[in-house]
Amino acid sequence: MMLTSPSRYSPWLVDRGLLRTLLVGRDELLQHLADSLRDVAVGGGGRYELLVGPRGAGKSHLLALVHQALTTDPLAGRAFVVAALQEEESIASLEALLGRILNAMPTEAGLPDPQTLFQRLQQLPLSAVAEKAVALIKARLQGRSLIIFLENLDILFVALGRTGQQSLRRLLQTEVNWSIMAGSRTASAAFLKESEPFFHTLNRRTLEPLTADQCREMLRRLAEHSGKADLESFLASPQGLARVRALRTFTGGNPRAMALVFPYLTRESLDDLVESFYAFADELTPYFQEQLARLPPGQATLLEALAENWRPMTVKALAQVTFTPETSASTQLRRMQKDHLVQSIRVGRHTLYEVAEPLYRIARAMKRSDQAMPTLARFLRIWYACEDLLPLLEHLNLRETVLRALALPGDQKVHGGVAPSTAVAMFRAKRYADIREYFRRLDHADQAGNCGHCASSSPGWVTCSQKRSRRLRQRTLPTSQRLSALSQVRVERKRRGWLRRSWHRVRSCSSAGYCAAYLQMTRNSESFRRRSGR
Amino acid sequence: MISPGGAILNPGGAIPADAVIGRDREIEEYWLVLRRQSIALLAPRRVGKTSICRRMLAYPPDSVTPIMRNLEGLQSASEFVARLADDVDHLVGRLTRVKSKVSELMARFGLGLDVQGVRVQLVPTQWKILLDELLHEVNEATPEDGQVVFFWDEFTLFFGDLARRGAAEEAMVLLDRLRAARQAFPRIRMVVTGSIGFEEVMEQLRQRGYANDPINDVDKQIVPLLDEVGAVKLAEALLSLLPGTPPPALAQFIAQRSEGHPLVIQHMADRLRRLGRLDKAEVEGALQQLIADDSDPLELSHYLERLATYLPAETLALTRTLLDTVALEPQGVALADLAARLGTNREQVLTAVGRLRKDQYFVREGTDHRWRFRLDVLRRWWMQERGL
Repeated sequence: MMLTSPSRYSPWLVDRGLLRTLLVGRDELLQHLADSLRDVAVGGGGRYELLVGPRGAGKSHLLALVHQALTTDPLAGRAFVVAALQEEESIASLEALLGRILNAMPTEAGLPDPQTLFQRLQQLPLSAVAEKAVALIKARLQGRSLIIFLENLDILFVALGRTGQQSLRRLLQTEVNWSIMAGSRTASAAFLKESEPFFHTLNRRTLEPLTADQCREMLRRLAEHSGKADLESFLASPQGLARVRALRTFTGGNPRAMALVFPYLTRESLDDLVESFYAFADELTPYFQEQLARLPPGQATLLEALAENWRPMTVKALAQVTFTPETSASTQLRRMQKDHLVQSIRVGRHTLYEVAEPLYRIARAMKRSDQAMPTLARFLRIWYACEDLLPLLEHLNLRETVLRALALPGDQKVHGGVAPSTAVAMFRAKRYADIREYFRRLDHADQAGNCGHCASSSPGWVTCSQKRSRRLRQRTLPTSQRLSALSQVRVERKRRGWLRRSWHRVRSCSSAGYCAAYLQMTRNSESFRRRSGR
Repeated sequence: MISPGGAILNPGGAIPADAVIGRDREIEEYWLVLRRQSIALLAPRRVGKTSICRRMLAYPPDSVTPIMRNLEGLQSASEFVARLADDVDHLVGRLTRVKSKVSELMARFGLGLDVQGVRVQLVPTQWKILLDELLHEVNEATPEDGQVVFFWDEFTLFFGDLARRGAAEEAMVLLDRLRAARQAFPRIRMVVTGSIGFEEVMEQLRQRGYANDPINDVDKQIVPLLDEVGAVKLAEALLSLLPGTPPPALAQFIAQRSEGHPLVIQHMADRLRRLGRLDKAEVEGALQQLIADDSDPLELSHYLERLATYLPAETLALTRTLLDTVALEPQGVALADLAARLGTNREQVLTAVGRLRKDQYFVREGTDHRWRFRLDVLRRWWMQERGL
């Protein structure tokens, strides 16, 4: 019995047609994985594929679809057999893994029932299980290939330990027609370290966050499935895209998080929206609490500190606010990065960290009275265009929040040192025309800085310094001064080359990290200019 | 029903013997060497050692009986001997067609035990005697003009693990016994493979007082990347699996850009298949993507990370600078030039480049002995990663 409505946590239970409809931006990967696994299996070889991504990135969704593509292939059962292990099955040893694989093999006419064989296997002495399980699996295969689907390979590998992993790899090297299609929350050291058995064995494919357009397409399909025609047409409008971009900033493009926010998309009246916002935060809380509960105390503290700070932080800053030794904070952050709990952005010699799932910030902030209002203000600032915020000032109960929202990011940039209450003051003085002008300048400042997720090209300061170099050559300066200046330009050019490369890397970050990294890079560049006397 | 065609395009996966392409020259050479002595096949992972062994196993010359066993994950010398007994039991039965002494030996040493119809492997306590007896039995059962070749995959890893687990003494005895067997039994050959250097294992054993050289009778072969003919052959075979007609000389282009690295060729073809387009620009794009991809599909980052794990702090900085300097010169840098650029003495540079050569980073070429990166793909990745 398959579910006919989307499930946020159990894609394997959802009707495959619906899953296929809701798959966005990964059709090509799905096709590639299904085709290549099938071809290799038909050819009698073994292929090892691994999908890596944080919770909710869509691993199980994709695995379920690859599984469906393979099991419905005309050659399934004739050239290869598919065995999918359930996510909920806890496996602690190689013997258990092999037993579960046997148990998951399809029932076929003329062959003993796999469940009965599995039960017989459970009666054997442990030392005989692995060998017997392999023999039974091979007997069922009758020369056909085997494709095994596994969830949470990183957790399985921890349970198997090095010896178990070595035995598994030995098995795969011996049984050359066994393939693996797995998912993993982390790119664990078991796959990455040269000394580990599975180094260089699995084809790792990281599931990237959805882009704004992909998020919109996913929400549109959800709306279509739910029969919300008006929402569908709203999403197609420019305002719809702006709204989706706002949501993407909060969700980091995580498909599960987008599915979580979907029910709140249609809340149009402000009161309704604010109420929904609190309800949404409430709904997120158990999800993040469960994640937090699994972490060791040292990591939980760091994650909380990052969630409370809406900008990426350096290790030093984090260590200070959490009263943790810097070396320990650094180690924990590296571990958390491998577990996809935090992400890092390198800016020059500095590495900045931020939470990998931006929704965590909301869930965390809304539970604290001192942070709820600024968080809501942030949300409003992103949710509405500046002009749209103006009429909201009429809502007396929300006026302070709206004013905070109005006074947010570009405020200080425009007025340099003026307190971020400019809009408040102007509103109180009923200088409505000035407020409009103020908004215009704010927007202009944002665009000029290319700050935000709308930037499409690298900013001006990244461009080459060739012109300056030419000008220096043409100027009539004493030779020594000119050479010294030219040498500085060369150094700067080298640095700019590095900055350009960093810029491209930063562009692939989430929008929140991207903004922060961009600003940091700007500051670095400015400080470089100051140091080099220009 | 099964044809190996589809299994050829399989980056990082297990490739069946019939799908191994471009290794005929090496295989022919290894069989020639095996006529006179055993071989150690050494190379980093994913160069194709196991595939070569599988192909050799599937197509042995007449009068040669090959048998293969992967040693990864075996816990002790006695477990190794237990597995060997199992293999020999099958093998000798095949060779003599009469009930051999092996079953008797296994019973004597308490190896086989039937529990509910399942044979339980027990670990022999007197493994040294059993090992000698088993190999003696194999030698006796082999026709005079024949050979039995044991292919032991991940041999160095097995011994490295033994040494790390505190069973270095056991490892030393086993290595010595195997060497003695190679001397005593002329009809037995061994092909051992290892992705980590045998030298590193020996170093671990030497630190525990081992003074012998247990594989000085073995021909040590570094498995090379594919030569031009082999690389073109593999690229052609892979392109033939992709939809569409490739332009002329695309296979040659792939072979040249991949520098004959089978894994790079595989990944390139895999990306071309995913993109659905076949031309030189896409090949170049695929290579660039492999280098730039954050998930590091070629897993080159270990070349950078491992330096800090095995180099002492005082040479680490010099080695990194050395690598940076050479990375900027695709054609390579002569030793004197390197010393001048780094502003350090020639001896220090010589020691560092020697180490990097041994660890597969550098090769030396040309009449002026220029040092350059062994793989250009690694050089390009290094430049990108180090912001050069």
